[in-house]
Amino acid sequence: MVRSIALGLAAGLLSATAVFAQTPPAAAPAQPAAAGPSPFVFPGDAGVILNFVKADKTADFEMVLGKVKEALAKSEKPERKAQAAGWKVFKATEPGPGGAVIYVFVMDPVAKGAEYKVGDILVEGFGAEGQTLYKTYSDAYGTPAIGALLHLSKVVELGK
Amino acid sequence: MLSATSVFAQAAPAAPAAKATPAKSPYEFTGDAALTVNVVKGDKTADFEMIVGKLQEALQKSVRPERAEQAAGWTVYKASEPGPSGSVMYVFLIDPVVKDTDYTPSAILAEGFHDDVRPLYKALSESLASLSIYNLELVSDFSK
Repeated sequence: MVRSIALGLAAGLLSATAVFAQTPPAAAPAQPAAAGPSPFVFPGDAGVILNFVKADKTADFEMVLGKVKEALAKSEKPERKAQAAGWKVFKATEPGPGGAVIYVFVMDPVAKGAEYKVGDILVEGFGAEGQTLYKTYSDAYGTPAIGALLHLSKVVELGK
Repeated sequence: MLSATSVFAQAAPAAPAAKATPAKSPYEFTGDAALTVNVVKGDKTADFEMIVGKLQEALQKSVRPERAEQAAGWTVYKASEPGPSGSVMYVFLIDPVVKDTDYTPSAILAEGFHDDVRPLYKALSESLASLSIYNLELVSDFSK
């Protein structure tokens, strides 16, 4: 699965719209456990996820992201604090496929061993309401949902 | 609001000295941050990493203050996931972007190694299979 996501990204050539993927929305809470490690655990130094969101659903998506931030902030789990410390959300100027808006998650540094499943974070933070929030989040995704999910190892910081 | 194009369309005929505005480099980033995905041929990763080292050297030895600022926010990563046809993906994450500066690698290399830049250009161009560039506006920093 990870490989197919990454391959989607590699299809691009100076164009965000050329980025394709074949993956479903990120990790619903009810999703069966996958064989092998979760793609939402980043064993390296950093991670990047390109999310393709329907243009008319960006407000919903950003609202839920606000809830994710809130859930991380109020969590008593140290790994959730560590995740929040290195997690930024950006919006790309370039359009995605079908007019989608590209939201880029940058996790740098990653919290080692922690899983970045949005659905789980929402349910942890808000219980049953978290499920509803996750549905709103999932419904905001375009087709494909994720353009790339990359596990990254640092090569060099050019300022050091 | 009138676009620049329509304003120009209604203006008096262009003076003889007027010149077309050069296209803006895709490496002049307009947002808070930028992400480039460099898809490198599988047998050229050593060349590409050599170029990255030269970029670092050129930025660090530059007398232009903006080059040091650019270097301070520029990190290079390698993806674990393979690219197509055995390629390797290198990600440049630039955060924050130094506004109104140009991050074009070839220009930085030319500044730093003007007498020996041709082999570097060649190595860079021959190593890349494709490139994607994203200008990014910060939506949320979960640490704040």
